[in-house]
Amino acid sequence: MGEAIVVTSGKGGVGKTTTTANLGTALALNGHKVCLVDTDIGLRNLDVVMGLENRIIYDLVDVAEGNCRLQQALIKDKRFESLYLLPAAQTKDKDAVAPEQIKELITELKESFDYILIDCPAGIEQGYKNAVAGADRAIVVTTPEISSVRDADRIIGLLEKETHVQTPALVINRIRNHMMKSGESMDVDEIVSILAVDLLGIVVDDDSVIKSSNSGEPVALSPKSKASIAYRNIGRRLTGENVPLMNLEEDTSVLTRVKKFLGMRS
Amino acid sequence: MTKQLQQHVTLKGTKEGLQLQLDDQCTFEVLLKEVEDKLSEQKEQLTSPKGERLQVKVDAGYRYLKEGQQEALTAMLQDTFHIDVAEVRSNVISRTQAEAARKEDHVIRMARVIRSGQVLELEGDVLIVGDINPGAVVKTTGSIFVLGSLKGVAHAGCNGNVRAVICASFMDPAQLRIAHIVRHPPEEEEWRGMFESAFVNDEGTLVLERGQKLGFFRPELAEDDD
Repeated sequence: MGEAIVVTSGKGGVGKTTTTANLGTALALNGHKVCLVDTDIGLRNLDVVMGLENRIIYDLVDVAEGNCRLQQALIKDKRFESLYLLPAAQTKDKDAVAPEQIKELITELKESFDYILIDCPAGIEQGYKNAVAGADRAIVVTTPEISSVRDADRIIGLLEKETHVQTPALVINRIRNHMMKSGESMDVDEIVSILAVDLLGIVVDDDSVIKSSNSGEPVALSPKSKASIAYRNIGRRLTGENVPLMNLEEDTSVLTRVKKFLGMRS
Repeated sequence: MTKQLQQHVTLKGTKEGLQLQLDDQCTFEVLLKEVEDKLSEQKEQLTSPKGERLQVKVDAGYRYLKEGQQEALTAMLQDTFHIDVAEVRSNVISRTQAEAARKEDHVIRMARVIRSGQVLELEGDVLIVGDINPGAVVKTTGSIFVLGSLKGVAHAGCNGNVRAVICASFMDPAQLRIAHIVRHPPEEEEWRGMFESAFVNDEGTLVLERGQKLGFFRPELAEDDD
């Protein structure tokens, strides 16, 4: 029996879909059987980020309406045998499915997968209710911006009312270390103290994330960037491993020190 | 006379002034009649030569005076005998009054974080062990005490009690309100972020002071509850 984890944030554009895709990849890398479920009906993105758009035949609404079997709608990932995607419908809207239907569907998926990652749409309306319905745990994604922390706080408040969901864990995304250090953006401790939930991981703002999601290859696949390592660490923490938080300091190689001396930001 | 034997009404002079003691066994009609008789007998003594109005305290014993009854008694004393009622005391209160008094005295404890978008509407004093986050609202008829940081909106004494206070170990509120008064924060905050208490001062403005000074401005809070 697997676990269903919803990835949510309240605010849009903080990196729910990116986090879902990369966590899924990281978990699959560690040999877990993972299914990604996109519940953002009408604005689906997860398939694009995973590079699986052209393989969609059936979607979540088709399964919910009984137009096909669940197995038919699942898309196997290009890179991993153990990673699957259940895409959202692009032409319907969020009222096309009811929370009970999603719950039923997730329960079915839990039988054959270790982890089910549910990508939640932005907002706190029907789409959010759908996404949360079948979840056992929740990951709240936020960025070090006041508006996104405020929305995360709202979402945590709403998640606390869902008795079937455990206390949510926090991922702080898009961290710009130089801004945190200079005090121009909120720092990790400040965010954690406001939200008062466990910190699952921090991810630095990295160009490679945008680059890789544009090419349909989750950044977690290549271990070169800091963001990739961060997602892999989050994946390991999710399975109960104890991994220390990543050091945000820039590495002090000779080159970076020279750059710093010359006043360039590395 | 049998009437003299059983007295339902006694008029006593005490240190605190004139006191009208009413028996709690007879019916209210008998009582009212006897008050009238008794005072009529002593009308001479009760009228002050200087024309000052007398004040009397009414002690109803274990009788619960309903609203209409209390008014009837007061009206009779005022209209017929020109005596003002300073206070009506009774050993009994109604269940509703008792409930209200209990609520008033009771401190609601809550160990949780009040998050953005959550609105708490309560009655009585509240002790929150945790934070009131930005975007959250806590509203109560009594005072608000926060063991944690107050970053949202706090509204104390929302039924009009200006003696209510707001106290937080870390005070950085979005807005403070006590009764109908809203705090207008100055451009430069002086103690922002420390243990502070908010209350309405004598000029009727909502001010922030060091938390330790609360007992000085609200002596009723400095004393032991009993």
